[in-house]
Amino acid sequence: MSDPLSDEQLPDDRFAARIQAEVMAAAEERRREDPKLARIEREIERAWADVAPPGAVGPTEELLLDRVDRLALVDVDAPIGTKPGVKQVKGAIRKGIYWYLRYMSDQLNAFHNVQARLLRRFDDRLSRLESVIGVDSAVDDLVYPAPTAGASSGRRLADAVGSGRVLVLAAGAGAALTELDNAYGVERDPQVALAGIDAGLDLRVGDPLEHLCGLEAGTIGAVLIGGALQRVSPAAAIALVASAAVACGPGGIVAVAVEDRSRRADAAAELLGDRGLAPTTWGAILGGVAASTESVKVDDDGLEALVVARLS
Amino acid sequence: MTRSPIVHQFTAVLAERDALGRHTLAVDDLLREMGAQTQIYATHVHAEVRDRGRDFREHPDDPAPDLIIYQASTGTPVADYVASRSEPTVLSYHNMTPAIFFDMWEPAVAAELDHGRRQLARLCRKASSGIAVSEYNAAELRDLGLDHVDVAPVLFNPLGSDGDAPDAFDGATLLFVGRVSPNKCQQDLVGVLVALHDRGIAARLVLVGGASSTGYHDAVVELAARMGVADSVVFAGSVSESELVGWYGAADVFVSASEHEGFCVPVVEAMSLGVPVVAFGSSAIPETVRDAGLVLADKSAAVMVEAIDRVLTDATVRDAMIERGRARAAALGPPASVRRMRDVLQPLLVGAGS
Repeated sequence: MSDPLSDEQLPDDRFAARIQAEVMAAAEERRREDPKLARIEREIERAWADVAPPGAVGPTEELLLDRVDRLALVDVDAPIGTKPGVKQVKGAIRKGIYWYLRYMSDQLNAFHNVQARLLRRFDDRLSRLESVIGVDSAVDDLVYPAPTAGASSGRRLADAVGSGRVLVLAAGAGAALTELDNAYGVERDPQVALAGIDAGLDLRVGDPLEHLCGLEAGTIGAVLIGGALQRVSPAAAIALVASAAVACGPGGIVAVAVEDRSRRADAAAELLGDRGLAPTTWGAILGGVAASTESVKVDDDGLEALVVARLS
Repeated sequence: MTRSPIVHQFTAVLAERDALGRHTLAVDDLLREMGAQTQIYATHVHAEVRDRGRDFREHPDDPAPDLIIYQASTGTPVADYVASRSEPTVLSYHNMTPAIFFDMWEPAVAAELDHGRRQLARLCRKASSGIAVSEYNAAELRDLGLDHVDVAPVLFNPLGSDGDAPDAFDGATLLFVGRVSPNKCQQDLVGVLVALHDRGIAARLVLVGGASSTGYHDAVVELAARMGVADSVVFAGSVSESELVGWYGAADVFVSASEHEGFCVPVVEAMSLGVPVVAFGSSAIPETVRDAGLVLADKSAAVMVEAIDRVLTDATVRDAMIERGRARAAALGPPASVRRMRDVLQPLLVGAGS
């Protein structure tokens, strides 16, 4: 482990980011090297599931669905108070309320149950889809890392961007950041990000999509999409561009560093098939939110072009 | 000559020992200092602050206020009463734990929290503005349609430096302060302790705070026993201020695996007393800690252990975290927090008095 830089060398927000990245990378390495650690984690999970009540442990989505199931039922036994009163009057009120509530709740229950079943079916379908498109870690090693935006992309984007802050998504080691004045990157892999953080770049470890969606509208000057994010499906690409456009606001720039699919290694080429979109397709998608789009050649390793769109 | 504005604060329970109670009392002090006539109303006023608060059911008989400030934290009849009033109302939001955390442990508490959220939505439509103790909380109010929300930290008195020193321990002391509650995820900290022991690091886990759910508390105790670390977990329960200071003094690291915090006063207390923070970055934690601690995107035992080990063994990191922690705590605590609250309250008082 390298020595942390002093405060003078490393601005405030980078110091903690660097230590966090080092911690995440070290944990990942230890998990790989020490199978006992994963076993302990599983043992703790199992023991907790044993002592916690049924339904209290599990993925949040499952807990939410359980909650939907339970809340879907409207109870018709309405409380009408326990204070002493005329027994017959109370009885009549109870019957009247019961009749009316039952009439209402039967309809509501039917509606809620259909909604709950629908949610369950969506969840099942989503799980099946995830299992179909999911790749295990062994395959990951063959198809990743996806080429990220490099210095050439950064220079091209710098020409187009004004003074606004630039966000580089799936930034890798942050090569594009070296060419941009006011920029930061988000990278999922701590091992990869660490190299950039060590070089003094403003690079954060985290989920790029979550980071993008967490930004307030119009707070970023430009978003550069690269790495594995430009291998998404067309529908996901449209959603991604829309989110980036919201983060930028009018006049902002959304750019995509597009992989050259013909230069993929043999294994990656076969495993990925046609996954990923051509620069022209990205141009068309960006055209949906932009006043103008332009595709420019870049010299970055594994990239075909940088598609730059200025938002209307 | 204009008369002093009358400001009434409403809260569910007024007690000196909880963060919300202390905040409400501090806001009351500040309002008086700023020239307002004030009164606090609650469903229940604890004996130690009986002279500071009144039962909210007595409010209709009192002179009508110019401004109401409602300190929202849970479902309570007070909220319905406030919603029924016609005076300008400011919603001061301390966040509500999402009911899903309590569903399977304490269904009654979950129902109360659900009720509180519905009341909150209704009050957002009525309130003229909001005060949130963090940006995280402010975002919730804005999502509910309240456009004007200011952020001002929780007001609390800093802890003193003298405390009752607990028994000495030959190893690292990991401390968490907060109610034993499903959203605080103390079970994950027990898991971290197990992984630390497995790595050969002598450590104990100290959990300070009363139980929000006895079922959950018992389950955490049972987990510690099953994983063979029962002797290394101290359930300190609710403690006095001097005992709390003592635990902070004995702590090597403040650890948090909590999944829901609207601000997290204990983290600020830890930072102010020079205890480095290792925390899972959920809800308002990243905003409260910023770069003054290790805020982690993942709270698996592997990652938490690595972070704790780093803080314990790397003096450079430890010193940096302590130094940054003190600076961050100073930015969030008095007098900075009081100044900020005064800035937020001033225009409200001007509006109320006009």
